[in-house]
Amino acid sequence: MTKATASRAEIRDFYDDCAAVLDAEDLAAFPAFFTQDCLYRVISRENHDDGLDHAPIHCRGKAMIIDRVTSTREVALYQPRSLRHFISGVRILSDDGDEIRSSANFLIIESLVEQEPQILMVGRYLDRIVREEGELRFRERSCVYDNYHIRTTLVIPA
Amino acid sequence: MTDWTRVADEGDVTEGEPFPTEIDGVEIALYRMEGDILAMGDICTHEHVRLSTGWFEDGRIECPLHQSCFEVRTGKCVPGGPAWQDVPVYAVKIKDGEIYVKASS
Amino acid sequence: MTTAAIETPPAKCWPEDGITRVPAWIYSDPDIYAREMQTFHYGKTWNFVGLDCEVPEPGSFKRSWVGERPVIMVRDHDGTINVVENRCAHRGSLICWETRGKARDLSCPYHHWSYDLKGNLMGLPFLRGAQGKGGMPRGFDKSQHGLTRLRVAVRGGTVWATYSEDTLSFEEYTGPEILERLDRLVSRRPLRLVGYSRQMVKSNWKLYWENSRDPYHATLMHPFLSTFGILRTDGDYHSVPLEGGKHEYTYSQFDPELRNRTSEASQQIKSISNDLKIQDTEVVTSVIDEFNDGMMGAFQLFPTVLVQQYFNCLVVRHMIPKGPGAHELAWTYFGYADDDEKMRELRLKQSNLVGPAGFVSLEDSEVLSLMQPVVESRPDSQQVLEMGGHGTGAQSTMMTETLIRAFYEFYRREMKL
Repeated sequence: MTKATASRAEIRDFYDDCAAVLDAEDLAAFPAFFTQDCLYRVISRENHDDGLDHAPIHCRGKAMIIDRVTSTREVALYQPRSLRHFISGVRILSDDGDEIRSSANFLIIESLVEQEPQILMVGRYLDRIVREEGELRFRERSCVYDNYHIRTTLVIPA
Repeated sequence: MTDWTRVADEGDVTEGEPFPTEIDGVEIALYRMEGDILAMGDICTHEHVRLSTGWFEDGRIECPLHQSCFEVRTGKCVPGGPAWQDVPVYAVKIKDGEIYVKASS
Repeated sequence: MTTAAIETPPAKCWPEDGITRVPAWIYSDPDIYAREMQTFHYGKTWNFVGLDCEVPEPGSFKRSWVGERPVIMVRDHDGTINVVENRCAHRGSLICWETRGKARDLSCPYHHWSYDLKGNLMGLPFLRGAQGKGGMPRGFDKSQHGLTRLRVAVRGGTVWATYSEDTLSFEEYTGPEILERLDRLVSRRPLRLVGYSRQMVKSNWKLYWENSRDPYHATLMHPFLSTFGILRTDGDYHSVPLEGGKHEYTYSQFDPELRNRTSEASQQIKSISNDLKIQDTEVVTSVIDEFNDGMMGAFQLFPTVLVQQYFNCLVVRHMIPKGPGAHELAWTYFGYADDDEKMRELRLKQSNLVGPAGFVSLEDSEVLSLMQPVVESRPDSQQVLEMGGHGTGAQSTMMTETLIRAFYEFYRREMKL
């Protein structure tokens, strides 16, 4: 019997920790959740289901995630906002002792000045997770959003 | 299905009026035309509907839904409607005033 | 300025200063908006509907829009492409519900009226009634009740449609300069669909239309450009209005050495932080000069699209008006059928630059959505367009509003304002 990479509870904690970093706008801490050779993308369900590769956020490798974080923190211009992630239905789809494939639903509520909070994005995470130096890391994270439109702008990674 | 199946009495099928029936779940319609009794598949090849509820005129049955037309003698789809595939036709024999159809598949 | 609040609503006439001023009421007035749709989108213009690679086989269809009207772009059995309204001729219901797909014919879900791929009405249920009752009158002529069909022009891998019989040929409509730039991107090699981004922006469509004619804002509001030396005020840049202001193009020569240089102009922009380093330089430096001209740029083909080449990221920004106060941006990213693996990945990477999350475009929708309610709150106010002088000629600088002035010269003429 191959040994499990992580328990469901551990995966759930990993998801919550990653979301907490984004909710706190502590973007500098975000790249640490990924392996060096990762793929991180935020992709519409329309493209994903149709086998189309384009993703509004497409980071091949941790360096590109760092660039996105730097750009968002230091360069990009956007109105102040608060994000709250709500993650549910965390499931382990497979675990071969080396890599876990897991999924979860996400709901991100965005609050802007002068406006009622609204749904920024709803969808599911499709992930491949490995353990490096004892810590879980995303080798691949696809945030597949169900929204037909992105409302105004997508600034903070999902 | 290779056997002859009795489907109606000869008097049941009148000129100008399709006679719907079925053999082992296969929908068929009988037509009386130019002295012959003809048997043709009764489901339109475009959408699932019984052709016999449509309009029978000049040797053609017109589908009630989208007016696809089929030649009753041959099952040929007449170009111009949304259907593009033919419907099957079946051999008919009359014995002692009863109609038999061979619904070979 | 207390008197301004009690002034009567502004008369709908253009300010005396001409095209150096734009009256704010044109961004919210419903009558103006309706007239724009009639004059432009439903008038004598060619509207973008899609790429031929989106409908690869007979029966392949894709939903699109001309103005606010939903249309279907569909490849016919003989390989030609048709564009018909996505509106049943019977009661006006939406026929095609899927974004993309494949079908033998077009059938309305409401009463199952069925049309061929040219939009001809082939049949309708119970034309002759049921059990001898009901049905259409004897004189009902199916040939008079097809889908509204638009004229279609195909240029390279792009598909365009017009409502008007009087629209010039596509080539005459675009003029030679736009045609050359379009062909450069879409006519030399078969296209490959990379994917879509869709974005809803709560602003009048013209604010976005002006935005992509406004190089003045580019290095100021999109600091990513100047920070990473992609586009700078001291670089080579050209703003060229065309066809009486109807279309335009802008372009620059890409200079990978710019990152290492500073100049007076770039130092004036406070957003440049020379200590910021890009980690994955491949995004902006491993550019393949696939058109062998070292150029990057964009052009507007009025009234629907900005076609953009950002290094190796190729994208059509399709502006779909959704009432006076909103528009959808449908971004269609494309490449070429013979792209190798390296090029495919490069295009995906560089598409981080433009789109709803684009490093050099996310600010646009952000600022315009905040701008719309402000503009609506003062319909009597005026925009000032004097950067680069008062004229409408081509200029070799980013510090100009000549393209916006040229647009309003065209706009006023067509709208009779």
